[in-house]
Amino acid sequence: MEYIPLYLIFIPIISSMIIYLFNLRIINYLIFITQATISVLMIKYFLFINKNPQFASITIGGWDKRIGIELKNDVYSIAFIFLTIFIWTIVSIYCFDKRKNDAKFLFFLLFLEGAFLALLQTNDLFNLFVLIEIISIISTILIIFKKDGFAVRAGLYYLLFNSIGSIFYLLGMIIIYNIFGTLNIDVIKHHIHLIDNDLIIHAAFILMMSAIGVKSALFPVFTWLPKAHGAAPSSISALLSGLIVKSGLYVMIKVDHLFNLYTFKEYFFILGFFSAIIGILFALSQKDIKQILAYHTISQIGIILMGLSTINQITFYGGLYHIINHALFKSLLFLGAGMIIRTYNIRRVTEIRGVFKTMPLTSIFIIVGMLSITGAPFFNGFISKSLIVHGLKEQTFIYFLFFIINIGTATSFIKFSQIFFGKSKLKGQATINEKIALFILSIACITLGLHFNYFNQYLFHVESPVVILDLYNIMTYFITIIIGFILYQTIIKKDYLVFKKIRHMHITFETTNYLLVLYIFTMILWSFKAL
Amino acid sequence: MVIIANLIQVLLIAISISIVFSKDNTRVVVFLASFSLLSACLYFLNKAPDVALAEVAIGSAIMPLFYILSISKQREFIVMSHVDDDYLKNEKNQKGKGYLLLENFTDYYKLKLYIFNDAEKAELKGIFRKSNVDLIIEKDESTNTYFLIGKQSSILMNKLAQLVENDDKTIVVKVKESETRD
Amino acid sequence: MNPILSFIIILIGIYGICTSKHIIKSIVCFNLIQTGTILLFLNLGYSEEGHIPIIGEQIEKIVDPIPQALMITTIVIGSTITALALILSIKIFHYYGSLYWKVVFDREG
Repeated sequence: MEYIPLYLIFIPIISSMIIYLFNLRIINYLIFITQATISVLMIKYFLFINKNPQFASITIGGWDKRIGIELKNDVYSIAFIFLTIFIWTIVSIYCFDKRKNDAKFLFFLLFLEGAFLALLQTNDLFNLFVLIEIISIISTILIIFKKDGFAVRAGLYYLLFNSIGSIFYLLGMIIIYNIFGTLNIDVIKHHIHLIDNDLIIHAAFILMMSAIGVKSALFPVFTWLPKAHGAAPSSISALLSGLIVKSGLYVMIKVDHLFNLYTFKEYFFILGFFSAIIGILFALSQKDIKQILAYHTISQIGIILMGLSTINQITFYGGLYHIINHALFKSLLFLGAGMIIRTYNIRRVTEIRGVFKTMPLTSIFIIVGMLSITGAPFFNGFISKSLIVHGLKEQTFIYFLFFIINIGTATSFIKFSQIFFGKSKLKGQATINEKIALFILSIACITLGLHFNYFNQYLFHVESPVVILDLYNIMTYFITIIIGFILYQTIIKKDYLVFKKIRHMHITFETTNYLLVLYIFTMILWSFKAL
Repeated sequence: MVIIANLIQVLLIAISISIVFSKDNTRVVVFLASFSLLSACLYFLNKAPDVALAEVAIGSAIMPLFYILSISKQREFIVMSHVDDDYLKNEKNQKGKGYLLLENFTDYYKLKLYIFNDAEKAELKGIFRKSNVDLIIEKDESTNTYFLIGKQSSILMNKLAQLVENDDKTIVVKVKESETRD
Repeated sequence: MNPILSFIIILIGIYGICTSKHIIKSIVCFNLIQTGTILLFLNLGYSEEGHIPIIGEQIEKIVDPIPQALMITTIVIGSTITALALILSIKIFHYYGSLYWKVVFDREG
């Protein structure tokens, strides 16, 4: 019973190999059996851990903790594992209609799930590095699955840039190994306060954080994300934007808890704010559906970073909760956008009209996703954004800047919602599988919005003493929508030259590496100010 | 021993500077192979013989093979022809008109020309995505014109269009692959 | 022996990748950075009076064997990434006709 973490990792990998070897259509149904098995095992393991918490960590092979690989499950990883299995099930329901006979696609999809579940549970620094590289390689192969020009060049950019980022992680790990002699996160966390030499610890922290910045698309190094997420197939876009970018944030939470430095928290708060603003600015000037959604991912990750890098407990839990919510509604929006693109055969928002009449059921689900991302009451975006703002209420300047970000999001989605009006002559081609997938996701969004107290107590073991659903927040939301509508009508509808220039701006590969070096340099300068 | 190791490291720095600043691609591959070999020697002098074994096998033998294979595949121009008359004949005395045109074109870009004769017309939709074909030659029987079909995204087609400007028996058609499929 | 000289190789690699205009040269500079990192790690784990860590020799004083095991994995991962990037570059050449970063990304097709 206590070896279930190992089963969780190896069952998807072995079933993916079986699917690839047999290459028959009947064996492809094994993907659903795998998902059902994993979810049952995870629920049993969760109830088992709650009763006896001393079995939460096991070492592979029975070696001692300091020299072996340890798998540990704490509060954060259990929540993430549930989210992972849920979203993978929905993506496999969505794309099963088209990929019934495609054994290679299902092979890579299941293998990626196994590697991702291993990343969430491991407690060893070098194992983390190997798994990050494996996830990069397999996501590249899934991005270039369509094999046309856009996908191949986006995939090459993604692969090379992420590999360069991972080498910086390796450099940071070398420094830590030479000081401590072990690579286990718990043992290092226990002994790190005994080190006198602040300079070397700061150097290791800076190198590791630069790799994490590349992986989770923070401000100067985010340029790979719109290209990769815009060129991938729709189901893979949903998976990438919902989960794999969040793996960078998960590693960041672990490294933050390992080092416990107070000097860099303000730096990451400012960085998160710049990410949010730049994401909104780029999203307002795009016309392609998938690029708009990809730039919104960047800005929401900025908001999550603003929540995660404070000392206030409530804001921290708001940031964590926003990771889960963002995975749900962003997958909903990407999957819906995939269905729209398949029916209409064009990708520009200004030319697609009449979605509500051609596909009524799909458009209801997409409207649920849009209300969640802008933060409407009774949906889950409202909860997490209010939790983040609640800790920042004392500093009115930052509260005002947060308000501006919300207005930007609302404006952009009002521009997005123009696709629902008007008439169109096409017939909707949505299959039953896809509608079921979108339906389950929207039910999850609404449930998490209404019963968040229950989830907080059960999953995170935290009591939330704040009252969120009061009149002030609801009024704020409606004012945001009204100001966003006014902004859209006056400024965005006429396509000014500034927006055209921003839309066609492109940063080449050499400049992106130069920005990465600049990012490391600013972190070094910031640490001098604090030392 | 330490002096030899330091000398080898200085030599490695010199080779890496010449890799970064060189302009020819074949030279870079040869330098990379020698860089890998010298670094394997250095691993052995640092008392790590198993890493040296792995580096020699992978970095000196297999990696230059990959590089040379891929560089040689980047110098080809693959043509598939669906005509069966002597437009593309390659005999000693007389060469077909199309063959002269293509030879002129590939000499300008220093590519190698490969021509495949496929008399049965395979399905054309999406063929640029499935295989590495660069150009397809078809013939319209009624008007006796030759169509050269290529991709719009390739910049080599511009030069080809420039070469057939004066000739109204050959037309260059650029196919744009749409990106909207899921 | 000298970790500073290995660090110089890493810096040369980073400079190379910041100013390379061809795709193949970016991949080669990535290999350079990787080899520099491995050299750095092995240099830090070296000691004069230790012996090579093979069973059968004197086991009392050996050089630390953990960096060597980790670096073999790193070499294999680096070669996988290089191989995948080279395959993608062949496909890019057949699609776009040239292999300079600026030309490939400026085309609209």
